[in-house]
Amino acid sequence: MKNTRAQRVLTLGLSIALAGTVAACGSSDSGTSDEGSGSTASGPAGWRPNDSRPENEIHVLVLGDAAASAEKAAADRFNKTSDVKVVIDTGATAGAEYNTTVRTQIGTPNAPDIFMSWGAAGIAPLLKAKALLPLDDFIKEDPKLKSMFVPSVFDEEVVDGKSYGIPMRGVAPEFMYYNKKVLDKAGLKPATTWDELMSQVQTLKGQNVIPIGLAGADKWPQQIWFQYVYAREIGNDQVAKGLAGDASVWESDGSKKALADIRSLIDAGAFGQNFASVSYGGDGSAALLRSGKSAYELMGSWHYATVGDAKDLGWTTFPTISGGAGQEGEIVGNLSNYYNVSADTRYPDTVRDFLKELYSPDFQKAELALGNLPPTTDAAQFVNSSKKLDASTKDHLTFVSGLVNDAPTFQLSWDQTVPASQQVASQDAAADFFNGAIDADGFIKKMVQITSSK
Amino acid sequence: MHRLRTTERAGTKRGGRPSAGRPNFVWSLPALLFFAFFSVVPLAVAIYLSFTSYQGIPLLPPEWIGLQNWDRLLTDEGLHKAIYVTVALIVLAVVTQVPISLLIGVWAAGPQRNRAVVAALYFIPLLMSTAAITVLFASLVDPNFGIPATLREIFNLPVDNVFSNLLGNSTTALGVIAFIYLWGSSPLHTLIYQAGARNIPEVLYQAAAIDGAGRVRQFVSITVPMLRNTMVTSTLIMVVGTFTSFDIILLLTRGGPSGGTSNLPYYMYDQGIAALDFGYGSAVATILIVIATATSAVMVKATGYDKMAGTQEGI
Amino acid sequence: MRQRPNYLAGAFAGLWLLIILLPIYIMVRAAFESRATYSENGPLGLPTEFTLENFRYAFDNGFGRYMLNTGIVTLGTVLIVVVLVPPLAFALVRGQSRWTRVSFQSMLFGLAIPAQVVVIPLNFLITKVGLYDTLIGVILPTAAFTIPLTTLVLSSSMREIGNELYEAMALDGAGPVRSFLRLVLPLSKGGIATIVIFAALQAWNNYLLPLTLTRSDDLRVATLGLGIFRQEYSLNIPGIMAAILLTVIPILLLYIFARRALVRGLMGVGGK
Repeated sequence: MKNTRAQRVLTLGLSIALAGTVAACGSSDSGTSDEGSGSTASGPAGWRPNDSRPENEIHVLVLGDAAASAEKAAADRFNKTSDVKVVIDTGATAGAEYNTTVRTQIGTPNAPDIFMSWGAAGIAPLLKAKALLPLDDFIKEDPKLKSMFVPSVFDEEVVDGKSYGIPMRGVAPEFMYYNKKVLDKAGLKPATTWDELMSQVQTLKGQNVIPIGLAGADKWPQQIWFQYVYAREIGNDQVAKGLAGDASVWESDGSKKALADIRSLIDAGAFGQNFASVSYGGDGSAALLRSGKSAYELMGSWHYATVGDAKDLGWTTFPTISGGAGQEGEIVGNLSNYYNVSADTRYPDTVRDFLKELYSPDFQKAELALGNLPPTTDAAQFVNSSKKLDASTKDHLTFVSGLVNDAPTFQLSWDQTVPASQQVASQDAAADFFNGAIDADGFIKKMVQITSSK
Repeated sequence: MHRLRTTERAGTKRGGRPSAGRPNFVWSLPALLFFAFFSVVPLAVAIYLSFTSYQGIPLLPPEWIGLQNWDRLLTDEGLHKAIYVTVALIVLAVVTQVPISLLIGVWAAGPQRNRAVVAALYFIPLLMSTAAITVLFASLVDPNFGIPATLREIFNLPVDNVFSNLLGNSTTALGVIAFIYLWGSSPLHTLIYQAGARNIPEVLYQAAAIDGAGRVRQFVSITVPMLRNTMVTSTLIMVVGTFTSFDIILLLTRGGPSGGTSNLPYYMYDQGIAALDFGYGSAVATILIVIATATSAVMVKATGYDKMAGTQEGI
Repeated sequence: MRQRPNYLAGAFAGLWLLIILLPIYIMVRAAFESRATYSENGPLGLPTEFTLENFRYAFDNGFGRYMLNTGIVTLGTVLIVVVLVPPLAFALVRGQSRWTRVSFQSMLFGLAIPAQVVVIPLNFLITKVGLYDTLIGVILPTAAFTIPLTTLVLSSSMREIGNELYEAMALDGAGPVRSFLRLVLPLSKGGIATIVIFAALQAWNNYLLPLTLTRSDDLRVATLGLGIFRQEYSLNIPGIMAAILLTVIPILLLYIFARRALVRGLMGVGGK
């Protein structure tokens, strides 16, 4: 008797399930056919307007963090003279949630007309869905949409010869921050070579400070170490090949040497014993550096704002490694964010005009005030001429600008380069190597697996 | 169930009881349909998605791939680990929360005025969202600025002690998570036990006291048996809640170290939503729901809770 | 016939109180401190400063609006639950059809559905019915997910109503509607108060559904507002503590107001 009742419940469940599935399929079909209808309209190539989008509005979805204020201000300026209004929607504050929102909405009337991405890997599935508008026709009408931006940054979202993203917000290379007071007290100068760094670790341990702070609970900070040591040992060009799926790069001697370097740094106690419990988001590692409990931290340029108190804060390039195949000055980090445009936007002209705001002096100044260095060719001049910025902020922005401009290569963070589906796995591999869960061979195996998946 | 049905049938045959005044099935329809529309239908879609490859983009409709996701589940070590973590967290939750809530709840049920005031204070954590609680605790367990650092100073402990790397190994990280559950949700269970204990007729204790039963004896032979149903309800809410909990892990450890705190819901999020593989994520979700439902069904059977579904005439 | 005070139990209860209150103390203290003071003092320090700056920051970031939205969502959820759940619970407790048992089983089943499992299809569904980016669109699924637990709680409490009372009603010739209105509802006040609190808590704490079902700043709820303080790369701990505190206050008031009814309602949860 028990069985029959269970069966009945199951049957009920299944029939409901089936009804749901049918409903879902039906609606998704009608959704796609709607959008195909406008493909004959005149306008930029690839444009398929969707007339069920809101009238006389374009929606811009931005990450809901502090930097959104600059975009809101830009929309206010723009709306003064435009009939079609720009509406800024502030979405999630975390990148993963933000991406989920974009993906689940794209193609529906609720989808934003303009939204952000972090690089080519992130937009790949959207390209496959033909959801993005190529911006080349816009650039033809207004060449500054391309020429005003640093080429190495702009090129990240050029796919198969078509441009899909306009850089926005700041360039965020990664480099070494240090606490001046702590190094002074230990009688040290910022390390310029790997060997120096290794020997300073011992001195600093004697001073009872953590030589290098690391927010290990968040996993991505460990990855920065791999990015840099690999850049020094084998060079960013090789790294790029490896990330594109060339297994021989990961299995090479240079790769093994890089892993041995990192291992010896960990084993020397450079990061202390409890880095796995330190988080970045909870003011963990930044507070260590600010309060002089750690001497160094390898982090992106946003760290300046996170640390908050620049009194004792110093910054320098990542140490060189003798015998490494990398070129001098190669850097890693986050290139920029990019604005992408939905292929089914209703008002492409408004979109194009709003994108011009991204290189306007007003927008750039607003970004600088937030501590972001805009990825434009004239950003440095705004830094120098600004009256609002204090001396230390100017120094920092000038350093960042010089670092980016002098860099022969700029490798985008690994977790942003691998396919979006492998982002988490790549961070896990770095964290697992740091806490000893996998050894060098294990790491190599994982990277081969991650980079070979499509 | 079986027993219940027979009694019921017997009841109707006896015909003595008026069936007038009893609600028919229509009474339950509005709520059931409403619930079904917003949770069962989407759930069915999730099950459908588990047989597809889907990146979460409606423009790229789900592609039917049959049992591929399910094949992958069988050999997925991460999933096995996630099941282990889920079970471990439930066991930790039950063995810590049941005794503490029971003892504190029974204590708070006493008639003393000060106990009522204290009981009101116990309830405070329930007013905070899980996200808020986790953010609070995340700053408390920080090895350099949280409570571990303070303990180190007070007791002059070595730099590396048992508290210094709480989130760095899976055992202590699971302990921290279980503690946060305990802190955040035991107030509810305390309240349930408090209410349950107040329902126990005072006369039972008086009789026991006359028989010379001491406090412990009274607790074991009166309080606990009388609270049996309370315990079942509370534990059921606890088990299911722990089964489906996810916010704490997302905000505190992101499943780390090395998957050591990745329970099923988090694993689903990690593999499905974060890695944008909604097909596989849905397969994990289906497993999660099957296990959760089976567990609550077993609990319900084992404890006879389902008898409560009927009316009181069997009693 | 009271016994002597139970010192052991008292000590245990006191210790537990300390464990409960310590994090609360840290939160409240930090909410009134500047960021610099907090990082200097650490979590366990004594209060040395009193500033309302964090609260002003919260309100400057639109927290007033967010709280209002949360209030609307909470009220809407509670209304739906209060209208739909009592008839269902009544049917579960008094109904005799086997469908009522199926209903009961499905409620137990529903308890185990985590919201994140259905977020993607739900998004689809809400968009299709044209409720995307509206507060109603958040309220409906939130209420739906609250139904299983509140139904179980309320039906446990309704079971406390003695059979003889129903029989007396029936002898008077009362149909189910009259029994429900005149007997069940008045005697379930405590249980209904409990489900009001449960539903309100659920709505108040909701994060995932408003996140995925709205996009406008105007419609943001308080828990999402907390996200503003959790900026991607930095965290203002006193600011977040102040914001958490703000989200606690209204529900604290509700709790103080309804505590008596709540405890009375919970008495029924376990049955006898």
